[in-house]
Amino acid sequence: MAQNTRGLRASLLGDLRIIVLGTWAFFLQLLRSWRLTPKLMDRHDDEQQP
Amino acid sequence: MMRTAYVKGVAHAQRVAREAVLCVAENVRPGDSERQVCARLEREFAKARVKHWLHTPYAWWGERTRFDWRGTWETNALPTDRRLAEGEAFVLDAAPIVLGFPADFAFSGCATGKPEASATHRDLLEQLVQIKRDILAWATSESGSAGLCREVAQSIESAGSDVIHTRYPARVLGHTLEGFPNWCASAPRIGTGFQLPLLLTYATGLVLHHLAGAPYPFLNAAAPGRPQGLYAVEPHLGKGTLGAKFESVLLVDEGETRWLDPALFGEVTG
Repeated sequence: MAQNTRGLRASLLGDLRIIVLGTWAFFLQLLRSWRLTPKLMDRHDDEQQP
Repeated sequence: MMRTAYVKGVAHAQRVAREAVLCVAENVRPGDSERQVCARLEREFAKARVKHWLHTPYAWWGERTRFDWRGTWETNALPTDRRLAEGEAFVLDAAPIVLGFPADFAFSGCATGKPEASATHRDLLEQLVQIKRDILAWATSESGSAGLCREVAQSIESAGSDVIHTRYPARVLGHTLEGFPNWCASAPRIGTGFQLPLLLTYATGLVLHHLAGAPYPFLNAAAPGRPQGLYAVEPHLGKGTLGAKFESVLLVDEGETRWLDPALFGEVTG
């Protein structure tokens, strides 16, 4: 019984961690990709050479 | 919604994703940057009128196909200015939402110019073919979702390759494609990479799993129960500096376990 409860708690904490870290990473990704996105969606980006 | 109609909706979305990715993949050349190729993918999906995403297109070159980077996966995975060199592996991966139904398709290739690298890459693809075949049996075994993940990892390691898919967020081998269209499937695109429909659908799925006993949305080592429904499954392996994966839709329903696209990178038969 106690082992089952510990398992459930570990599973709950693991999934909570996925949600919190996932949300945090989503906002980091948003900041990082803010200026990148218009370039990717620009029709002429492909033709530009560095 | 009827089950058959739902499976057909996902199959159609997967067909759209596959056609766009393969169309761009056949023109990937040494010298192309990840960003240039992602821009081409964006254009192909715009032609198909895709406006909503689980995640926007990714392109990874060379050692980046192995996710050996440090730090947050989501930011490191964004397309860079890195250019493809001869003999380097590449992976293209896109997950559009088409008419409310989700898809997730990935293709692995290798730039020409180094026969040794091409041969190693061919070996990796052969391993993926075998894994794809074996998953049909593993998905219905007594050991459930966790057992499926264990079998895939053991198969990769026993062939002397490295398991890469455990480096994805939530260490997933796969994720459910059930529950669409839903309240967030038409959320607007924000930036590049993972999108709100992905974040919100899976967060909701995890909460409902704990509160109401809904099926677990991921296939990973900690997943409880057995696979049930439609999943995007993405075994990812590596050897040396080369990484390779496929991403296909697996259907596990009562009395029926099959890929919607049985061959490696092959046609979506539905």
